[in-house]
Amino acid sequence: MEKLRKHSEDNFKEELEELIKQETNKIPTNWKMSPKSVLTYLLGGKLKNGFEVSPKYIGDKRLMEIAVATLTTERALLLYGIPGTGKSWVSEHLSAAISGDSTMLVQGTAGTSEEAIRYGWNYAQLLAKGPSEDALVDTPVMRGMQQGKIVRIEELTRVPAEVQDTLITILSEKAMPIPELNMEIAAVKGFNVIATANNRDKGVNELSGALKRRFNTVILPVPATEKEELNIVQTRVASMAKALDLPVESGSLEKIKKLITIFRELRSGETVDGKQILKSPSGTLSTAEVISVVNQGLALSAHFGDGQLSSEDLAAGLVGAIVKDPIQDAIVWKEYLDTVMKKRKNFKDIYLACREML
Amino acid sequence: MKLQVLGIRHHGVGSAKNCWARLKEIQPDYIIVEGPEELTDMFRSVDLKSITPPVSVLLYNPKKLEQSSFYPFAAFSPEWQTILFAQANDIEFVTADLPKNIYFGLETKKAQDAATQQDSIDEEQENPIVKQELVLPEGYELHHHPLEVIVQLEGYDNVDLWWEHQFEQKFVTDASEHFEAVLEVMTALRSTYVNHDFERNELREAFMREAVRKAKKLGKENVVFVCGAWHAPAILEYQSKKKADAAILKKLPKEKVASSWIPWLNSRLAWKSGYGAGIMAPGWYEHLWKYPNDTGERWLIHVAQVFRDKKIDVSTAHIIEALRLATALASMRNLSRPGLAELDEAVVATIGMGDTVLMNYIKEELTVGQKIGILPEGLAQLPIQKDFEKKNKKYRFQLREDEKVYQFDLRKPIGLEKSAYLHQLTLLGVDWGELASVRSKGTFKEVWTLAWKPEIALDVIDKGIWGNTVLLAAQNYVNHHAKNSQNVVELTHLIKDTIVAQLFDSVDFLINRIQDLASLSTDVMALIGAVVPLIEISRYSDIRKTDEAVLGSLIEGLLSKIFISLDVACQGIDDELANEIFQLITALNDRLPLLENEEYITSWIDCLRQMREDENVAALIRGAVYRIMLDNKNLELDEVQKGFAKALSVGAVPQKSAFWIEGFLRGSAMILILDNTIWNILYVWLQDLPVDNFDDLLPILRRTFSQYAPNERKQLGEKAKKGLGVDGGEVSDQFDDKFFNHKRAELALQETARLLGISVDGSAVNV
Repeated sequence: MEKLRKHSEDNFKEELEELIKQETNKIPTNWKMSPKSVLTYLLGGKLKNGFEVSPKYIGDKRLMEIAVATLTTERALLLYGIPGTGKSWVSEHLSAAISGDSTMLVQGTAGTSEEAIRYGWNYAQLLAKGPSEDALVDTPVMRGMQQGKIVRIEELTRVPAEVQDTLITILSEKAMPIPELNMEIAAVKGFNVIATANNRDKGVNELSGALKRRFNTVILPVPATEKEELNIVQTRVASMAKALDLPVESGSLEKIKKLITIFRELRSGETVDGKQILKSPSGTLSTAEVISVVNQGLALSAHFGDGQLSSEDLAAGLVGAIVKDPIQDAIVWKEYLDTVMKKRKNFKDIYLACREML
Repeated sequence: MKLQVLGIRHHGVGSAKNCWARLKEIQPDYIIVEGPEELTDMFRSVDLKSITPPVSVLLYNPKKLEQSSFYPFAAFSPEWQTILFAQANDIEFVTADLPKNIYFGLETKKAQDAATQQDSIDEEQENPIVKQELVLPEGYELHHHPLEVIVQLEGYDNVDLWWEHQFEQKFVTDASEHFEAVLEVMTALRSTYVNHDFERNELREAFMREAVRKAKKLGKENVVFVCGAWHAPAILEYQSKKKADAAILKKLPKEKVASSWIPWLNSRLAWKSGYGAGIMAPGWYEHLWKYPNDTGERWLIHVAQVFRDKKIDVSTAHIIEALRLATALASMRNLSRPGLAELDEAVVATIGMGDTVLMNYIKEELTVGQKIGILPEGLAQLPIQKDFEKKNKKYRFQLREDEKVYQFDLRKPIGLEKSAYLHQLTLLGVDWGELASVRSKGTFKEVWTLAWKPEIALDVIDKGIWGNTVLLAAQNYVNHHAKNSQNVVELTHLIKDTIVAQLFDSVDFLINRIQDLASLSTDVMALIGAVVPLIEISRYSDIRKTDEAVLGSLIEGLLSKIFISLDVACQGIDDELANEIFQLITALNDRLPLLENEEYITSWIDCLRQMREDENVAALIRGAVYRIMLDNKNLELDEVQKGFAKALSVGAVPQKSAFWIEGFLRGSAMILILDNTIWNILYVWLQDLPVDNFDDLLPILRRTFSQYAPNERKQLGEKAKKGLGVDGGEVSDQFDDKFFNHKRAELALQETARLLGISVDGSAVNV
């Protein structure tokens, strides 16, 4: 049975192998490739033998440089950003390129316990034999330390504060004491942690000062230009459509462009020409939202329409993505429709489709 | 004759170091530095060692003060170091470039041509390069800098950064190699552009070559030319271009030029002026100049110190971590050592937790620095100072240290002019005159007190950067301030000041700025705070006809926003806020009729009605709205009585009722004295109030009643004695003293009288 989604290291197996084969720079211990090759893997580029590496992150190159440079030092990496800016995406690809394994993953939730980060006990064993290594249940963090791999912790700020703090020893001492057995697990070179956290969640479980100090932080922004955003949407939509067996047709490019214009204008609070100031809705309006609107539109047109991405297909998802608060956002959206979209001749079809949805 | 051209970047630290090294090697007998020839005398007349940079030379047209250029120098400017070298070694030097007298002449001519031939302002002259249809590699864009071609090919997004990495940041090894490399790059680049005459380059370079030919004529043998890198290849063609240059250099228009040294600020080094080059981070360059071999640690320690000065804790561990990251970044970017970008990014990622907020907080101080240049006494003379002196003479204002009072009649042109001038100075922050009485509707007089302090002269010089006359400087200063302000109320008050200062261009600017800000603002209080003074301005001030119309539409926009959102803004707010809105609403209600616009009044009444009917609006404001509507005669008395009764009915929360009363009764008590129905409602409400509630509400009620005039209070007291008011009714409650302990009351009375210094019967006693 085919899997719905493959890990990055499987999905881009060929690229990773080629990068390793072509490696000329110094490789840090237990890394699969040099920091520069990791960067090439993330940002895309042509290798010396002409092999084309596809870009995984489209955006500020400098941010990725900071991220990779951080992982070469002893500091852990914290990726911050509003939802949908590609934090998990970047973290997955980073660990796939550096360790060849993106599965050392702890998903942070309000219910994440200390046992999920450090270690747990197999109680049957514990009762039968008393504390012993056999009774120990390991975690991705522990395995990452033993194997010298990158460990990913998703949504760190959702983890309760006291549980977060168990990371301090791991990050500063690079060791995990197991007092019950009077032993410790020492991390092997190559081990490091990439954590992701939401800007908007900041207030929920703010990291303690001590823990913050163990991280270098990179904030991932929303795409800087329309071109960049279009590039992201196209790439991601194409790969998702392939996974979901949806037909993609190229004629929809214009429509996606318009969609991105709408999102960018509402997000930045002004029209593209900078002449009119707009109110912004309460939602985040990230690129991920654009992608899901397009995907939803594609699905609608494939299953219920004529296979052509129509304005109506997009409008259905668009209104849902923008109007998150039924009162405030609806006003913002109506204002935008009537003062901006209506005036643009080439937006007529999508304007009418959106009007219909109200 | 041997000629060596040293291509530099203006204000480039590495350039300066290399320049110094190279000059030492060459030991020239003649040095030419890029710069208009007027600079030569400026440099020759002063020993540079007596000056502490940053300083600037100002060249300006004394007849047209708006024509001016600054030539700023920092200690690390290659030009500065070159002249220092020349002076130290007694080497003859000149400056060469398009002379400023011709430059101003050309500007004047251009302005005249434009005036006669309005539509022939050809963009070609402005930006010839864009027109040249260069074939660039796909995906590359050319904006305005020729270097961008190379820079983009190398994968940089910024010319300065590329230059920085290639030529400035590398450790100096061989200066002659360095300049050869620069020359090679520029030659290659210039060959790509057949006609690279942007910003009068061709003409400028002709003058530079002319200087070289002069040196040859003088019989010099070993000449060095220090110039912006771009010009380097052109200067070497001094022989082959002799004829062509002669043709260009003929018959050029001229203007007068005056010059002055002025102290400069680090922050102003960032400006583009004169040389057309500014630097973004003078503080960083200065650091590089001082510590050429620093690999980041000294800088980061400096960063930490600045943070600590601002009470932000930064540990040594932070510095170490930042340094590690910066070094790792530099090696990923193939740099020999971290530059400002790497260090900044490292600080943001470690100390700043990824957020640039902290960094921005210190950025200015860190990378720009607050340094001010110092000149030997008597060297500075700015056009604004001349204008200042001229105006003072014209208006007969004396620079006296004791206070002198001046009185102007604003109906006379000269009086208005004097007043405007002093208002302009005040706007500029030149703290000389003080306006004794604010100009109001009824008077045409203005009284100013002038008291001179020597520091004021410095204030005037300091503001010289903004313009060459007091008027221009004030205008630019206000516009600059307005551009950076987000506060609508502040800007509206600024409009008032600019009107009395007769800065009509600024008024224009301010109105537009307020329009922009207001269209985004959701703060109704700010909007009302802005619209009230704007109404006064539109009614009472002398503004231009054009501004009047713009102001009218601005007021209209603001009012419609206020009318829509006032109701919501008055919900769920605390007492303090309610109080503020209360005052704003009253003020708006007072001023609105001034506009004499029926439509506004109708909308205002609608808005008030909506608030009156909305139970969620704060009680204080609802009370006030009733009162306003009653006073405006928008509401019948029986409606008001009904509302009063409802607000004070048994079911209402006593706290809310008390606020309602405050809102309704604040300002005037007459209604209580005259209207018995309302009086009775209040009387009964107070009577039935439970004791506990009464204690709670007493402060609010006291606040309401204590604001009345004494005689109003007395009347109310008299009325209260009589109890429930029946029209023509008599006193109902008799004063009964049988419960009093007279003895104890007497004691208290005596003590109170002693404290107040009066006798018990109320007459004053001498203590």
